[in-house]
Amino acid sequence: MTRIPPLLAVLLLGLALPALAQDNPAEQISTDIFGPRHPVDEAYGAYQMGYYLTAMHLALPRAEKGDAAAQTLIAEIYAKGQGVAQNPERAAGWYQLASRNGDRLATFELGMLYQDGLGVPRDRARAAQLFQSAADAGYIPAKYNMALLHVEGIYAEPSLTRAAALMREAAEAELAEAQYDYGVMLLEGAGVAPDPAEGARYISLAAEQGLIAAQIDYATLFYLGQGVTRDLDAAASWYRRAAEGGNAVAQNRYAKLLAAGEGVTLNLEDAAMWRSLARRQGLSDAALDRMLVSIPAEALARAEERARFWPSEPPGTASANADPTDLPAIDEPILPSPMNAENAPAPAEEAAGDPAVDAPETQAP
Amino acid sequence: MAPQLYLITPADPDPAQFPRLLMAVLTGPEIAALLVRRGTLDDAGYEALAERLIQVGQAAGAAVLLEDDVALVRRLGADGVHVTRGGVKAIREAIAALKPDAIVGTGNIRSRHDAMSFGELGVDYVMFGPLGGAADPQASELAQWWAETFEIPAVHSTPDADIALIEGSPAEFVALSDCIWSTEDPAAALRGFDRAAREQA
Repeated sequence: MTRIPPLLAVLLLGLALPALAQDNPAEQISTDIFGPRHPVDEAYGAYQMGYYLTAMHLALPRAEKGDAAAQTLIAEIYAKGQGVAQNPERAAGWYQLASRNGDRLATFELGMLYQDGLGVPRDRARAAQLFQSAADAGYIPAKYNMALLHVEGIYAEPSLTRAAALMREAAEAELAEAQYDYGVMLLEGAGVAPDPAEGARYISLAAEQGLIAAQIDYATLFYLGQGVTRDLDAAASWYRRAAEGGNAVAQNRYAKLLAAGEGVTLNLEDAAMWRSLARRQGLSDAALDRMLVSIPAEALARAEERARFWPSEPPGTASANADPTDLPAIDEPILPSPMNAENAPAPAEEAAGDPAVDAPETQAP
Repeated sequence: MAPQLYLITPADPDPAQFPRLLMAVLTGPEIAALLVRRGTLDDAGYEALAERLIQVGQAAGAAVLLEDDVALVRRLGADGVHVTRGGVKAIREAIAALKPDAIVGTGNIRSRHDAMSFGELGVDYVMFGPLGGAADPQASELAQWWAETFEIPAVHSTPDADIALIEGSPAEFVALSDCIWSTEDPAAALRGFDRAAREQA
């Protein structure tokens, strides 16, 4: 083996020295390229990765010293029971500390605990104070809650105007519930000048975010042509989204549209499946039942079977898919007739597809 | 709401004189609880002192608490125990042995986490601050936090308490010790606190 010549050794040492001073060359390179690092919240990092007990362990010493972020983190862990038994009392204790140290999320969450009487005695006046201070600090969900309190008018000054202003702020910040409620306020002219088109627009934003109540109302606006151009296809499509989200009212209404062939290709079997799903949630509707009196027993049985497995397909439908019956063009029907239903076998393919999307083609003539 | 008074005996009382002094102090104001401090006494000394002071305290209508020794509480017929050592385990044992007939309180709280862990065991109160000596600057803040958030009563112990503390104390109980015994006339000092508490109420 060759020995390193002394000079080279000195050079190597000389080169090594700056790196030693940095204690880690990788750190040095990282700093050179990306700039100095921000301090990392290791407790929060552990929390995000799901290492809740590690997060707690890292956060506790900081929390005892008055670090608001660490206190909130521990409160969240206890509030949600992540890796520890759920403990709303302790959550309230830590939120209280963090809130005093100026953490607005903690102030808001503590307000929620007082509002619901979880871990602390129920105290809606105190909850309102906490929401107010979190709202003043700019925390959006607190603004939304304050808007609701101004509508209620017991724990905050009754004022629809203030409610609407706060609701609008929360809606602009893209809080889905606020978009929906502000949209409804615009439709009704509650605290703001009525503006159905703008109201429908806000409701659509909430619907797009997946808020089911907004999806149902948006569908209804399309059905009635309120604030938007009347559009049965769009109505059916939004009812369908909400129905697929599991909402019984939407399931019932989508079933009616299917049974009447309004905005969607008439399909009694699909209608019966959604009726069955809505019924399971306790929603029965004589009007829908009358629309479905003519459904063939076989189609009804298939519908009930599909409802049993919903949102999956019943086992064995794959073979049915392999041999799809011809889809008859249904041009004329608005009212279902026994003849029609017999002729409409409603192949599984259609059920699995998106009839709302197919609808315009079949209805075009 | 004005806090109630909780009295802590001095660390090294003269066993011959103190019971009489205590009797004089307790003739006036109403004290919710009296804690017989152990200080540097050995078991026999503490037992002898406790036996005398239980009689004096109970005669004055106060609940008399002893430090840590659950067996002694039962033997002498005291009203409860104030647990300062042994953490969760000691508190659990005290609760199992004494509740619901007698009081179990806890002190020597080193952290917020401790306070919550002890509090949820079902103690009757949580004390913040030392029994005597130098006051803990954090105790007031902790007591306030506790009283605002938790249903279990807080005892705020400040050896250097002055009457102003009574006003605006958020804790359900204020514990008094050196601020009474180091004065010329402890009975008058306690009457002063009591008056302040009544004016508050």
